[in-house]
Amino acid sequence: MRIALALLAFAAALATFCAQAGTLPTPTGQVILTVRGDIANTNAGDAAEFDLKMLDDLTNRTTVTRTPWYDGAQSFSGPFVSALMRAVGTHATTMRLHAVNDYTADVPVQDAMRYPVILATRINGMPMSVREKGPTFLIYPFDEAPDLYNEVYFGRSVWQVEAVEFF
Amino acid sequence: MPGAASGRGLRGRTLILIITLTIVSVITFVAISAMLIRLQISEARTADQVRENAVWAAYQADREAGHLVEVIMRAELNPSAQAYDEVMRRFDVLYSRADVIGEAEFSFDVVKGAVLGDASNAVRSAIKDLTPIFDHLAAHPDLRGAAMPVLLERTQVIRGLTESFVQKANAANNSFRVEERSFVRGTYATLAVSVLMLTFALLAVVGLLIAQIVHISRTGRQLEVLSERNAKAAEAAEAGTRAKSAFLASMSHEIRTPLNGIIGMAEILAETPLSETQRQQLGVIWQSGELLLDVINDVLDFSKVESGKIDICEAEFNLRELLDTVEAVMSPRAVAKGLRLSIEAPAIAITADPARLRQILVNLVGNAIKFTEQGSITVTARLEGDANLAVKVSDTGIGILEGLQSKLFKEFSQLDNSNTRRFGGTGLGLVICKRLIEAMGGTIGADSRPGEGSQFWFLLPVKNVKSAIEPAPIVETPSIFQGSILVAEDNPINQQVVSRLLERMGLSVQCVANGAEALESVSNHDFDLILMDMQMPVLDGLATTRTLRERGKGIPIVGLTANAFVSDRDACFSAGMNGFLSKPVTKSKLAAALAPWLKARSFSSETEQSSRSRMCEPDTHGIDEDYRTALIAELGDEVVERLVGELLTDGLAQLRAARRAFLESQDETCMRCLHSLKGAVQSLGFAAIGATIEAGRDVRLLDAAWFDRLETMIRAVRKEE
Repeated sequence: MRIALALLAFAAALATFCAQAGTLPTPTGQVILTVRGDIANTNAGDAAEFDLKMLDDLTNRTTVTRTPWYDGAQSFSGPFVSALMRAVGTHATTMRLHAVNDYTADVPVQDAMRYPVILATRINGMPMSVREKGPTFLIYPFDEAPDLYNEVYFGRSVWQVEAVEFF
Repeated sequence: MPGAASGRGLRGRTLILIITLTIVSVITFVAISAMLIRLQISEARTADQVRENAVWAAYQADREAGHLVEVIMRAELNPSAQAYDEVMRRFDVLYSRADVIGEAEFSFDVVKGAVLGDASNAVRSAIKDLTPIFDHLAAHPDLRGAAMPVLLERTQVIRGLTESFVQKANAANNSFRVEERSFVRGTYATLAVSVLMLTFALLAVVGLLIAQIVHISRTGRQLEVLSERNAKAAEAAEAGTRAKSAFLASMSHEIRTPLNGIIGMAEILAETPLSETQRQQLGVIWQSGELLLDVINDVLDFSKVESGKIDICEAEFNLRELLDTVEAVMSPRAVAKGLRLSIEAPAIAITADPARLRQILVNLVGNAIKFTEQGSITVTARLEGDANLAVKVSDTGIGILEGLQSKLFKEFSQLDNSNTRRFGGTGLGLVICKRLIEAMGGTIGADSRPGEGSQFWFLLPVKNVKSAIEPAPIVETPSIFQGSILVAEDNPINQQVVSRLLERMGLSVQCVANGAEALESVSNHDFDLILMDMQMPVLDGLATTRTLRERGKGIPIVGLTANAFVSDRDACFSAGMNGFLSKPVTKSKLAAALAPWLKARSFSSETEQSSRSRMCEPDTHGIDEDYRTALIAELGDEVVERLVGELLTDGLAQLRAARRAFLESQDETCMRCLHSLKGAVQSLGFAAIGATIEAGRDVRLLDAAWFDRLETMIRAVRKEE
């Protein structure tokens, strides 16, 4: 299982480097995620803005896992963090997640290389509102990698993410 | 053995202690394992229940509530669409928090669930209650400005609830931590105590083991010392036995040597002219000597039997012949007491130890004769089955009291003191018989009725039973030899006895007193045989023999010793001797020992030789002494005397017949009668008479005076003796 996860993450990471130089489309719907910092591809000044459709167009994954914030396992789906990184063209080592409520948390990019970490846009197939911890939620595959089920990764699992900064 | 008992007690206590400690250790170990497992489970449960920090969640909710209050107040002060949007947004965030504190699992909700649950429910329901208002405002943005004061009031209430929730969560968290800490501390304390106990128990076990090892090594040392002491004691005992054995050997030597002199001299004395009284007295001396010899032999036999050195030499022999010899040996004694001795045995060949069987029979028959005053002694031997010889010796003697029968086969047990005085003996005979029979794998027993007689029986396993046997060829041991003998013997009496016996066997004898002299004599003269005493001063018999053998002398050497031990015999043969002879030396024993090495002289040639020599050198007595001695040794005194008596009757009758034939001119008859007479007188050693008859061979020379002279000579035979 762990080897499978690592392979998956590696494949995603490889894709990141392969698709370094690309162009970003302009968001047509409501912008739900803004990416800044050390990125190559932008579509709004020095930032890269994403609407739900753009995020859906990236390589997605559905992670079904238990979390401390819900009763029982939930199905989260959204783009791989590595796919997002490829889309914005970044070699950063850290990403700082900004939540709607001004909460920020720093997450090592390596996590995204080692695990299939996604920036979930949907819960149980439905887009997430702010009330439902939307618009995006960083989800680790806790059930697939029980080692992650601890306070460190709980702290990195930021919800209501509206902006990501790579540096 | 108080020491041993206390030692056993100590060991017992130690054992109980070790068992107890082991049990304690095991229990402690199990307890520790249980505690560790419990801790592990608790840890695992804790890991399972890793939850979002409730305090953090409460704080976040409180913070969001605070923000909401703040943005509402700001919107009231500066009303704008953005400000109202911010209020709407902040409510959504707070709403998400309400979900979290409602749905999320917190690390201590198990412990403080009830208290905290109330607070969180209050927060949640307050927030949820606001939701329709905000939803309505989202649908009707124009109402937002008017709604602000109400929202502020409601939000401040929520703020109060979240503050209280934070406090409660914090308190719950603190008490949970304290409890958890005290649980862990308690568990660790118990664990520490258990480990301490286990350590103590193990230390105690180790201590006891060390004590045990020390004890064992000490015991081992004690055992070593003990076994050393035992070995010494055994050595001392063995030395004692050896000393006893040596003492016995030397005693038997010391006794046998003079006994040799007594019996030998008595034998020689018996051949000299004696009065009837003297002959009787000599008989007593001789019998006493023989009796003493028996006693010594008994003691020696017993010591051999006792030391387990019984040599069983099996050979095939004729049972009837063996019993006949026993009869021949024993019947004179029986006849002397007026008893009838009868022996019944089948003429069969069996394989067993004939010497031992003879010894046992002589012993039993001797006893029977000893204890029987009148009546008869019967020996019956028969085969029982295929491989058992059953022998019964019955007498009509005094019998044995029932109470005393069990003592029969015990050492030195004579049945009562009066008997000792009456019958004499060592009391060893039956013990020896029993031991010998047991050594041969048989059993012995006795039945007796006091006053009616006794019956001794034994059962002996025998082999190779053959019913029909060929009569054994009679090998006569010659008693007259040719040759010269060197006698090396330090005791003058023995020297004399042996040399006299040898001389009477027709041998020339030279005597020396020690081995050194013997060596000298051998280098100067040629001898046909050496009789060598084992114990001599200067150079003993064994050393002398070895020296002779080293010098390449192949001359036959026959050892002579007063010791009758097998070891002596072995020593003789290993030193290079050819034979062995135990004292006292008798003529027959000498003859048997010499026969293999010396040339025998046949009777006829001896007779002719001696008669011829007698004719040349007439003996004053007219008797060939040498021949006569040999004859007596061969046939016995009584027989020779009887024959002489017969010569007086038959010989004179023959002489009369010859004279009658001479007078009737029947020359042939006369010569035949004279020839017969000549044979008779020569056979009896009357050389002079033989020579006279020989001289009258020519019938023309005969006259009445010759016949008269011959008759006078024959009648003088008795006086001449």
